[in-house]
Amino acid sequence: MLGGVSKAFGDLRVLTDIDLSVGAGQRVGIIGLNGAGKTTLFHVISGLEPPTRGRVVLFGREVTRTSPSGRAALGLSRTFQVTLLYPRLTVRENVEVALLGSTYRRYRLRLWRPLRTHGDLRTRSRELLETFGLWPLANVEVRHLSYGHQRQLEITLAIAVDPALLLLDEPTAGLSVAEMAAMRRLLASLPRHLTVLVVEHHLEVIFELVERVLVLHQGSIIMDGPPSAVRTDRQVQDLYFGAHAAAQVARQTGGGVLNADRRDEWTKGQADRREEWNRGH
Amino acid sequence: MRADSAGSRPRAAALDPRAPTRIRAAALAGLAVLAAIVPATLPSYWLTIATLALIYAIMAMGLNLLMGYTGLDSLGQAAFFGLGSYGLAILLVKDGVGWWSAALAAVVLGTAGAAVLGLIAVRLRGLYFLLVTLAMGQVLWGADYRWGTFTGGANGLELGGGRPSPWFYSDANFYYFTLGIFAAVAALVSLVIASPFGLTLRGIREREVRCQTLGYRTYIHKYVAFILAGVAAAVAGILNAAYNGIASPSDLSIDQSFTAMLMVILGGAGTMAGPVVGAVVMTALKYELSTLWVDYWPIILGVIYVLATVYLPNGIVTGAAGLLSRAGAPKRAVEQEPAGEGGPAAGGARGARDRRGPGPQWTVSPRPHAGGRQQGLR
Ligand SMILES: Nc1ncnc2c1ncn2[C@@H]1O[C@H](COP(=O)(O)OP(=O)(O)OP(=O)(O)O)[C@@H](O)[C@H]1O
Ligand SMILES: [Mg+2]
Repeated sequence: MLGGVSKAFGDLRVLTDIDLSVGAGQRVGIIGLNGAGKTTLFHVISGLEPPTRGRVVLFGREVTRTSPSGRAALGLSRTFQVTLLYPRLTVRENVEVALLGSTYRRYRLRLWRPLRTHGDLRTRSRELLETFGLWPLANVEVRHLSYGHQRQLEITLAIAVDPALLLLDEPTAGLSVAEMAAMRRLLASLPRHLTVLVVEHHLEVIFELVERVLVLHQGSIIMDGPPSAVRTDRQVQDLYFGAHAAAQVARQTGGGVLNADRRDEWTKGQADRREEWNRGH
Repeated sequence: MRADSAGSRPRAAALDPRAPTRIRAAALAGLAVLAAIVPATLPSYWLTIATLALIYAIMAMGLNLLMGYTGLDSLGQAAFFGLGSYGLAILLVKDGVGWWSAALAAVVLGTAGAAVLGLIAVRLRGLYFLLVTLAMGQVLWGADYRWGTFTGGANGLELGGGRPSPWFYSDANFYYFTLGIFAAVAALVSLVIASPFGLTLRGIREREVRCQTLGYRTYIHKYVAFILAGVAAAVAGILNAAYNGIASPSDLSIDQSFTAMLMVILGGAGTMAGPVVGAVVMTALKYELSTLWVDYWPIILGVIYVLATVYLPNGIVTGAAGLLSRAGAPKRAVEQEPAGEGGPAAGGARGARDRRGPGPQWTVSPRPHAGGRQQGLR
């Protein structure tokens, strides 16, 4: 799928020689620290950023120079880490814009007829919203939607085009506990035949969803294996609980200076984290 | 924005795309009657204003497809307005073509112009799009002077009458003619807006990148919208030349483009009625004020622009609909819409929007670099 892909922004090398091949129907999790290049990898796969070097092949076709819409037409769909919806359209209109994307041929469109008289399109948007539990919000403008619902809609749009390969960029980032549970149910209900690549910081979410985990570190894949192997890997543990931890603290304290109460908070947080990690075993 | 008390307030209903069809139809019929009795009830000075307002409304409705629905702000509509007016004038005067054929050919000329210029313009976005469209208008404006022997230069090109037949020389009749074309354009535009294509345009306006990753070749949609706006401007240019009996350099000037843009903004971009209201208000203002201070129109335009941006950022129509719905219904229900097959009204949809707080702390990964730089993509 990816052959020797590198990506640099100016002097900043974000991805270095990534080789990655994913079989049809596989579910692959991608973990890595902030800034490891996970989102950039998705941009390269979906065509929003051209790779500096290397080739991208989707469904057996070389697509390195294909536009994002061309790749979508082949059956690729993705979500975004920062929700990318249509804020001033209603929830239902959002889904209908998606349906009119790469799958528009499935609906008998008549340009001179109002959208609301297109029965099959309307039925499909309703079905999708019902499936994803968003039907009660169908007529709400998206900018008035709660964050959790926006994240669900984000995935609904990606699914609406009936993709063969789905890229999910941190579906649970920033969700509350309740929203998180809803999202996990949604993720668990994704059709089995779908090939899924999911970037996620919640390890328990990723481990219950995927059969293969990639660890991305400073633009390289440093580990690739089943969840059980990745979970017990010493290097990954150190990274995730060492560096990740330190990086987060540095950020929260505005650049590395730990003050006393922050440190308390942190130590406690880390204990929780360890616990959660161990429970995962 | 939505008037949920539309049932009891026909004026709000006329402005509100979601009002029940019967009430909208009644409001439209009322407006049609009003428009029809203009020549009989208003003095000829106001008949002139009404005719010009309709002509400009045609251009503004087209531009609104581009600005309000697709999110592309064009400052080049004068180019197509001028292609229409000069196309008609040159064919009538220099080539002696019959009026209807000349008008048809001028529409084709405007369309072709939009098709060519659109190829370049729709590859751009935002400020670059604005500047390129501005440049297109300016190039044609310059060409008009450069080839003055052909186009009449600063004097413009007199049509020697310029209306299709003697019947049209009655100003009342020409008004009805314009009204008919206005109605046809309005019907077409509302058809486009309600169609699946109209929804995709709004999607592109809201998030073009998302549309691309969903499989849209967005430049094709933008290109079609660009051409439609160009055609409308050309039609307006033709009517304007026929009405005034002259194609003049001001047709091609930046003022013209700016006026069209201002009509859309002032009336309410992205609403069906907005550009019409904007055209009426601006045309009336132009004629009222320029009789007082002839040379100050560009300055007045600028002042209107500033005032509109500050006090009516969403336009008259949107502002009025908001006021009326607030007056009619104390708690404005965001979630109301008489959906086709009984879409449910949603409760409790708002509020939780900013709940990105640091939930269980470590699970949230705050993004220090999410702000600013690459926001559009992530
Ligand atoms: N358009 C860009 N221009 C310059 N640098 C960029 C750009 N996009 C990303 N980067 C940089 O590339 C690196 C990788 O970013 P990326 O968003 O891919 O990381 P990530 O693994 O998704 O991180 P996170 O977990 O925070 O989402 C970061 O250092 C980032 O600042
Ligand atoms: Mg990321």
